[in-house]
Amino acid sequence: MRVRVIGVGSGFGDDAAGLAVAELLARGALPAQITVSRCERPMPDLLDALGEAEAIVLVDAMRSGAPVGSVRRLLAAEITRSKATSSHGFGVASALLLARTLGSPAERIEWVGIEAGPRRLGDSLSAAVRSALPEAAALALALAREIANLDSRS
Amino acid sequence: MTETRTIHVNALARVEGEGALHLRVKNGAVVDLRLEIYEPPRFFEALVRGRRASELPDLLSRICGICPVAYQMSAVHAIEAAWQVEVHPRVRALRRLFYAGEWIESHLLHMTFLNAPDFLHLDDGIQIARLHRAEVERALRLRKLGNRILILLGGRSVNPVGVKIGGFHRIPTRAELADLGDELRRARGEAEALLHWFGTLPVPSRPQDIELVALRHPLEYGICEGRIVSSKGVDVAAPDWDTAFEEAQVPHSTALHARLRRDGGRYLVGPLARVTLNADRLSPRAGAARTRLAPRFAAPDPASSVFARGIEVLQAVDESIAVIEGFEPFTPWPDPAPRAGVGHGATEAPRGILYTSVETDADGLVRNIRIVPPTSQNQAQIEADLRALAPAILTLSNDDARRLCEAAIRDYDPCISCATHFLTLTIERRDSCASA
Repeated sequence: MRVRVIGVGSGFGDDAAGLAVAELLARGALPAQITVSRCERPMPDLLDALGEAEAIVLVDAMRSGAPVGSVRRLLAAEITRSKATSSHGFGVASALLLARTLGSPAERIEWVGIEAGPRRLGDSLSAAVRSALPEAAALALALAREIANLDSRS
Repeated sequence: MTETRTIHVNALARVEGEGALHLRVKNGAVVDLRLEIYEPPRFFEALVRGRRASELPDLLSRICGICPVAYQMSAVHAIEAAWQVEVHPRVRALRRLFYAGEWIESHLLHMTFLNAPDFLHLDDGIQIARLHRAEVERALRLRKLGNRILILLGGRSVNPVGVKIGGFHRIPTRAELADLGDELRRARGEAEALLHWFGTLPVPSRPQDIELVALRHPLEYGICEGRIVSSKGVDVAAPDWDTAFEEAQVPHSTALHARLRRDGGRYLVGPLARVTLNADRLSPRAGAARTRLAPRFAAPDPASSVFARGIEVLQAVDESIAVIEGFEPFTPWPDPAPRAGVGHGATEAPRGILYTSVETDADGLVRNIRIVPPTSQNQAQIEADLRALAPAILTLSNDDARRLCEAAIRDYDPCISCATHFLTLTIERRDSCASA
């Protein structure tokens, strides 16, 4: 199965964590079955990806109350949809729900979350999130390999 | 019996940005109405001072994720006017294509996900997708074409970076455009079918006396160039914007309100104004669609804006095809030399005229910039529209009153981030008999 790893983020502060993981993965050698891309706008970029890919690993900043820089695999049930429904505020969860409603072919969707620090302006990640990028990239890649049915040690 | 009713919507839903509505009605008359734009000002006009004017297209595209091209285009036109740059006709054509991409994407998102739920009494676009999957898929396919245009000329669809003063950083190849052209030709029928579907929906009607303002070009449907004209006599070139319009601060909004200098009156910019004032400049297909919908345009009716957007999607598809069919490859030329001066640009953002003036010094550094987005121009008209709804509101439940007000605001597709989400409604009733 072909797997697409998508780093989601906005480019501001720790919200750029997903984008930074995508860049990190794109710099390394990847199996042919795994592709990496960035998504700065769930509507429409993520929606388009969900309309095409069989399996997706989403990497995004999260707010769970864990220490900043914590990395973990998330369950779909843990993702809540924001009530803000302007097309500016159309989030990842809304894009997923819309894609499913429209019959997205994505059979499997996995989530990797990186705990973000307080909201701030500027384009630099906090030190804690920056140092967590390799761990998040490794988890995303391991999940992608498992879905693609590749030996995770190769 | 005296009844005072206060409706406060803390955050408007399905609009672009952060805004609220406060409405107080006493004995059937509005005593207080405020469309409150509380999104914090972002001071773009101050933070770009001292930067190189050549940086403005990339910096200003950051103002909005929905209509970045408008900010880029008005600014480059202003700078080119200040530096007396003659823009090559092929660049002009590609700019129309670029802008058409933004219109297609912005209009379809608004029509399908923000506006259509109102006509069907649904909460959001997800429900529309459940009940009308074919139409939503059609809208998304069309929108994707707009996205492709933005990526082709802008390098990316979000905050594109392909624009420079005098042209584009990269000119697309004939093959890239030919492929896009084939898809756009196939999309014509889809755009017509989508507009037809919107025509079957119970879209309300609120005709009213509104001064419509749009760009008017002698030959083309006004997008990047033309005089600023109104349905009641305004006719000025972009450098004379200040002679016809003025901006004023109002206490309840972080956005300036624009008004007519002539009488302080309100006016409306946007697709309804454009389709009305430039009906004779529409492409044959878009013109035919407008003719079929003629009763909806007999008098200015903000609720008909959805049809104007649908007509403009057709127009934008036709504009794009025309540009692609006439395209001849060319090599970008050297960047123009900066000079000291002041220039003005007015272009048609999806939501209406976006006026920008830029002053640069001899080194090409920005000394001053002024940006007047469409939503701040439409605020007074939106408030007047809501005021007229007051009698209807009094007969409704709190929930229905909130829905009616929000739907009316959404007809304008306000981009509040550019200039103003969700309403916790509080209604205060004061009955003089009961309180006596």
